[in-house]
Amino acid sequence: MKCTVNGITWKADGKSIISDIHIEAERGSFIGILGTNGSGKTTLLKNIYRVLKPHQGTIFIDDHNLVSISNRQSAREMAVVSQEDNAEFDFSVLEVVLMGRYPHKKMFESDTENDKDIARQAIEKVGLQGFDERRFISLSGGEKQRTLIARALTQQAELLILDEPTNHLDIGFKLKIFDIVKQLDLTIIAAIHDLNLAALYCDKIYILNGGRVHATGSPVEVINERLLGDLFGVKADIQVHPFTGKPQVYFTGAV
Amino acid sequence: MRIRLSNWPGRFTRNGFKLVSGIGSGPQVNRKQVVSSRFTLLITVLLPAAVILSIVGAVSVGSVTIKFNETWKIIINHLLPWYQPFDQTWRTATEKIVWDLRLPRVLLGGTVGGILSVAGVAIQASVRNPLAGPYILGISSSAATGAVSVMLLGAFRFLGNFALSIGAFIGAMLGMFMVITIANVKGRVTPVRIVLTGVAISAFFSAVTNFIVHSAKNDEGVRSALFWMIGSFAGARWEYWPLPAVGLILSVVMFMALSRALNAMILGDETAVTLGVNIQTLRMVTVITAALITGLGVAVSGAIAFVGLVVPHVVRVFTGADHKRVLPISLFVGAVYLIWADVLARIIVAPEELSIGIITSLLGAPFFVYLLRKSRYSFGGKSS
Repeated sequence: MKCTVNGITWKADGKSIISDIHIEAERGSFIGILGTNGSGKTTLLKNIYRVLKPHQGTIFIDDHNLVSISNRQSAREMAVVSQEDNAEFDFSVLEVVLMGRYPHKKMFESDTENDKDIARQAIEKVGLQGFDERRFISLSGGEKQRTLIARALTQQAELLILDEPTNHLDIGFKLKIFDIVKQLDLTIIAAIHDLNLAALYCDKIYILNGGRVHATGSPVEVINERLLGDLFGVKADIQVHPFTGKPQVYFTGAV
Repeated sequence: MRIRLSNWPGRFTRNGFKLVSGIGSGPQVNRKQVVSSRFTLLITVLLPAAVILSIVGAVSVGSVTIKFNETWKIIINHLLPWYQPFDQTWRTATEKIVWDLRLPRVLLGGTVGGILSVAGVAIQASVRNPLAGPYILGISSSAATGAVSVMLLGAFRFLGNFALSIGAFIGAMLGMFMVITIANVKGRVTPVRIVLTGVAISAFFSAVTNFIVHSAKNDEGVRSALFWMIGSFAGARWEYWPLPAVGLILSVVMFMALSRALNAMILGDETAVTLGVNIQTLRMVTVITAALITGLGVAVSGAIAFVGLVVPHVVRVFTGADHKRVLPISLFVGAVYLIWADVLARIIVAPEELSIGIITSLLGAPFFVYLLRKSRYSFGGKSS
């Protein structure tokens, strides 16, 4: 599934938060959105997953213009793991994950064994087997996040939007989650804070600055000392790792 | 610490799976099936049976005690007027008490109990706030304004027996309409805005009501106005029952159809949108439906406090937050609860009557506090 963002602008109180952003996510590619706090990453993603409506520009999934299809239809094509965390409800892990079947169900239709199998496979994929009946509220931050990722997988969408999906996870699960989604042959658009993680997994990176695309390219092309100094205000030494061939950032201090 | 009933079916206690003994070692699928069939049994047999027994029981109790054995025969004879399966062994006066006086009152009580509970579930989900209840849209205050206008100012006198109900219903709808219009900013209605607007509208209508009551010359009228405001089924008649009952049934069917969407809604607006829920439409439909049935209930019984808030909470402690379970169980629990609360209202100070709102608050408040203290619970479960 291909996702194309055509020059979108979104304003809050007349002030542009993001402006004229173009993104091309080819089928099966892993796109990283990087940038400082407040650079517009989350706003951009929210425009893509339809919580915000762009004031200008269009977004296409394959050749469907998003505004011309229903929420339900887009939910079958696009799954989201966002930063929203409403822990004040008492659902079991399986119930939360099964909600990923929502866009596939009719009104009175109940969950079939097939739905439950899909949900359980997703639960297993994120390493939560045996957690089916645990209460979501009783989980640790990392377990909650993995549950939400399992829910997104249960949606069986081909486009996956991730907004800082691994920020509560330890390094093992960070890598594991990215490995899982990477091998699923999905198109992924992810906002990522960790530069090394982004370099390791992304095929293409968009760097946002002040709501605009500041740089685009492969990890090697965009992650460099000057950019890190300009945008993040950090001194860094960047080496290409001999095994992965990906850039590795060594921070040496603030500018 | 958590609430447990040792003989409750497995799924309905929190973490209650271990309670289903003897099948724990079987494969997951079997366990699930056992649980869902227990749930089906509960909502298709056990709870409806409890409601029916409560109806017959509550009709039997009162200033004149009627034998349970006679009560159900009288009711069945009336339900099957051409067949009349039982010979009349009772006095005609008894039959009048059962069919003309008590049964409509008990049915109305059960229906309003169901309405307030179901509306409570729906409103709590749509504003994602456990403190919300069916009156959050200012419905109780605005309905009271309508009711006192009828009682003290003589509005709608030409409508006869229905003047009070219609006045209250119009008031309720006016309140709801104002809240929804004011809370709507650029086509978006957010939970917080609904709650805050509701508070403001409530305060406004309370002031109007108080003004009308205080400037009334008629002491008897003031007394009955106050009585109405706390809620009572004393004036129940058969004619009052069909509309709320039909409203309740239709709304339950609709909310059950939307139960998945309601689940998604309490996860948060964003999550709901990304799952494919049209959140603004869903919220409007839910809020308006809940307000409509609440209006129908309030119109015939006054604003009975602390039912729509408490019942959904109590139910969630046992079922978790899934609306597919919370809705039907709340419906039955609310019905049984109000039926018996009304019995208490009738008998505690007989031959006088208490307002049922006094009973529901006196019982509900301590029980609610007990639940809050006893279980790790807020909206059905946040750890404290």
